[in-house]
Amino acid sequence: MVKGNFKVSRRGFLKLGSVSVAGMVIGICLPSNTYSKSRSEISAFGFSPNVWLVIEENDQVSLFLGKSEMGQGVITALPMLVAEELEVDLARVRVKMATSDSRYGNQYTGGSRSIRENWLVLRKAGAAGRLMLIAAAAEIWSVSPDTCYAEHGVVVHRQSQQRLRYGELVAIAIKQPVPDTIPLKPPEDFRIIGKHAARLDIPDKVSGRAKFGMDIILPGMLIATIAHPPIFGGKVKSYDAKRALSVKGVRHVMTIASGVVVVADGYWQARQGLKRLQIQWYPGEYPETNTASMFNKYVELAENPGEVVHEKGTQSAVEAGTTNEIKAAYQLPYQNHTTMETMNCTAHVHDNGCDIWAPTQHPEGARNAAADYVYGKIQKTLEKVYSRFTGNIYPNIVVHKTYLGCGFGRRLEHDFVIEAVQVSKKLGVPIKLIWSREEDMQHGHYRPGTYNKLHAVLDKKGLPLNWVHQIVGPVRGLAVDGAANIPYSIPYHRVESTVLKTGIPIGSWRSTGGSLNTFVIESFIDEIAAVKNVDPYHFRKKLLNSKPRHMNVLTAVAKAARWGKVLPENNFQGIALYEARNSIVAQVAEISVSGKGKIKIHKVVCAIDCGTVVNHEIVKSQLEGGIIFGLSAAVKHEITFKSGHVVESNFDDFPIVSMPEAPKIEVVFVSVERAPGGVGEVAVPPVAPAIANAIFAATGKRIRKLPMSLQAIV
Amino acid sequence: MDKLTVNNKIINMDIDPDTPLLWVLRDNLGMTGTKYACGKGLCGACTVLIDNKPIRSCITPIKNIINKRITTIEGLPENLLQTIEQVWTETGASECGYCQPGQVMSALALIIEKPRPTDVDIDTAMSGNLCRCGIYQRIRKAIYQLAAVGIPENIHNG
Ligand code: FES
Ligand code: FES
Repeated sequence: MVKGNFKVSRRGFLKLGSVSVAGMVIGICLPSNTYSKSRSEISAFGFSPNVWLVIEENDQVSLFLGKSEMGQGVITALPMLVAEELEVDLARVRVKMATSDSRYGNQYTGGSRSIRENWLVLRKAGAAGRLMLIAAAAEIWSVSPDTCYAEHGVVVHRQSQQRLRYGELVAIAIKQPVPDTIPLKPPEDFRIIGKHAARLDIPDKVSGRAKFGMDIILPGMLIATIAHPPIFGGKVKSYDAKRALSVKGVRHVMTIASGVVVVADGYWQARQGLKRLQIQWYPGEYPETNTASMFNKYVELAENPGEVVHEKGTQSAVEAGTTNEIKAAYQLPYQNHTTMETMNCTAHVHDNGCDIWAPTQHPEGARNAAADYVYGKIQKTLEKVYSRFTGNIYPNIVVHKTYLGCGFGRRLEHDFVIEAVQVSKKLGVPIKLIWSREEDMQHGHYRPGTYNKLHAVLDKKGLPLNWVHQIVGPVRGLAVDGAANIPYSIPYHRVESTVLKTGIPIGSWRSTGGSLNTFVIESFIDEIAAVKNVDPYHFRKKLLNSKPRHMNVLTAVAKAARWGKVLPENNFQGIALYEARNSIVAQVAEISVSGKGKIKIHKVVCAIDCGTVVNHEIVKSQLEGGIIFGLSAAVKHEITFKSGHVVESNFDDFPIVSMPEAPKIEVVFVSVERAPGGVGEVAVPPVAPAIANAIFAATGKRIRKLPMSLQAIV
Repeated sequence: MDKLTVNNKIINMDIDPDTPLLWVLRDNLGMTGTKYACGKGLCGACTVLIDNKPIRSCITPIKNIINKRITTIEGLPENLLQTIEQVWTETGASECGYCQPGQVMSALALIIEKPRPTDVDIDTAMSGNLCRCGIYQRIRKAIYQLAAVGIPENIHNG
């Protein structure tokens, strides 16, 4: 029954926490991944399924799965995988949002992994179900299963054309053995995967019915808001609680580990209370943090070599007459996620444990983090032992997932969850804790800002022999991520890292290091091309001989964007290439420069090889959105620091691209038959270099610092 | 007595008149379709209609809108809502969806005023409705399509 990582069980009843359904239940053991904190939770108990497919007698098919829906479309795309092999119509399959119960398996939703993780297993689950339903019908009709087939949720006997609905077969199907081998359809037989399917979550979302974390309402619930110490790592010194309590509707004021909380009947009242508190703070460890001096320090540190984190090939020396060298330095700012829905969480700590409603990308992590506050020390130890014994981690702390108003990596953190838990624990009532936009902006987990020194040695023809990239930033991992990932053949490549501790909280930001290092790599390769005045597209192609897939994507984008063809007067193009999450993306940005040197971005053409496409419209939408996200960061916003705190606070000083500013976006698929690649992040990194390279083509001015200004560039 | 009228219902509650409409809707009335995202009139997530004009409810104290006709996303007639759901679904004009009720309200105000909006009309009317998911191209398409289908003369329930 065990095929690699894939295992199936079947039963007639599913009971997990608050869920209980009768029908044919197929339990699938989804392999955990490297990000999963729950690997041991799964493997320690041998076969314990963590994805559940339920076929009920009314023909309804439900998929209980732990992924969060944050706009990337899992609620639509994952059922497509099941429906394809189960041979039911997509409308019959619904994803039910699982709770954080560890029996639902790895729920970490990040790194563009949802489709990649589920591509094989969900199809196999559907196929196993179909085979068992066919076996059941064959048994009823006393015929061989080979003489039957399934379509649209019905098993048909080929000769007699007798038909039985899946719902009618459920009771007998659960007695069938789980098939040993589960063949999957060849792609040419797909009738759902790769075909049009509208997103299932849109009606609820546009009508305001969808429940985001912010929208949770519980009986007896109070609403809280928080002020965090303006300087990272600071502490509360004093405040005047009486002033807040004099606001009508304000009920409590309290200090928790991360700040001061005001609890009231409504958010507005809580906010008014908070404003009146006159909080005094002790500064944190880095009260001097200031963007200008931090980057000066970066530059100073870059004088000395960093620690080598990647080295490949043999270095060539610079020789007069035969080689040339080129140096450049690039500076990238800190960035905030700025999800449309600010951080918030509703928690109710009660006698039996705790219920949490949170827009989170990492429910199991949230559950585990909450345990520290729900339980005292002794009880937590007992709970841990119990968990180890049963394989069910903290079963009495239940994270209910809501819709997420964007994720971008910010909701992999649990800071907002444990705050709500602490307040509810103190007051014993349900608490919805809401961060204001200002708190959300100034207490993020930021994309690191970095300084990058590049040095290349070129041969006589201007092709790179050596490529040395030194990165200075507040951390190593996220700052150097992707820097080693150059698609071009270069005989010697080295990446060095230097770390300057800043106390600034750092986190994963849509595409992680990709958004930093792709700007550097794709700008610098353009600079190298310019040394001998070679067309940047053709120059890249020269270095991609060993990378046919990259070559195809680059060629596709050039063709779609009419690279090298006559453009409208004053229009110029720039190109960039990127690979991550098993997808390859290339973009061409088309801009124009007005007489006064003002830049307008007209269009971005994006080609992608992301293997098999499950749902083209969702992929397109993710790429369009990724491009606008990358564009906002390239030309509009940054996070800066002054006297230890974040300067920006809302959409006025951290502006994002708006409707009139959004360029036209065209997406081209390079179709390749292989497992799907990730698409949530890959469109973000190439935007900035494509635009910067277009500006260079237009003006001869090289942009080496982001965000770039689009005003008076010449 | 001065009255607050939301979706044709009169609200009798003892509420501080300085409270912004957004929080009265969300916290007092439990109507969570109207969203908070900036609290300063910068993003449009909290857009509702007052006498068919879009306003940002996060910066509108209720004392300023007494005796006015307030329409929220929840107050749209069922058939209009269905049309909107269909158009938005066909154009795939939502990702996370958090900004969408606000986008819809601004779009309705636009179409009421200009039943055949141009690109420039859309840019002007929608520039204050931010979408962090960045799917403006789809929202634009949805607005054109909704305008083409047309909306009823009276977009208020009852
Ligand atoms: S929440 Fe009102 S405009 Fe942003
Ligand atoms: S759809 Fe997510 S913010 Fe607009």
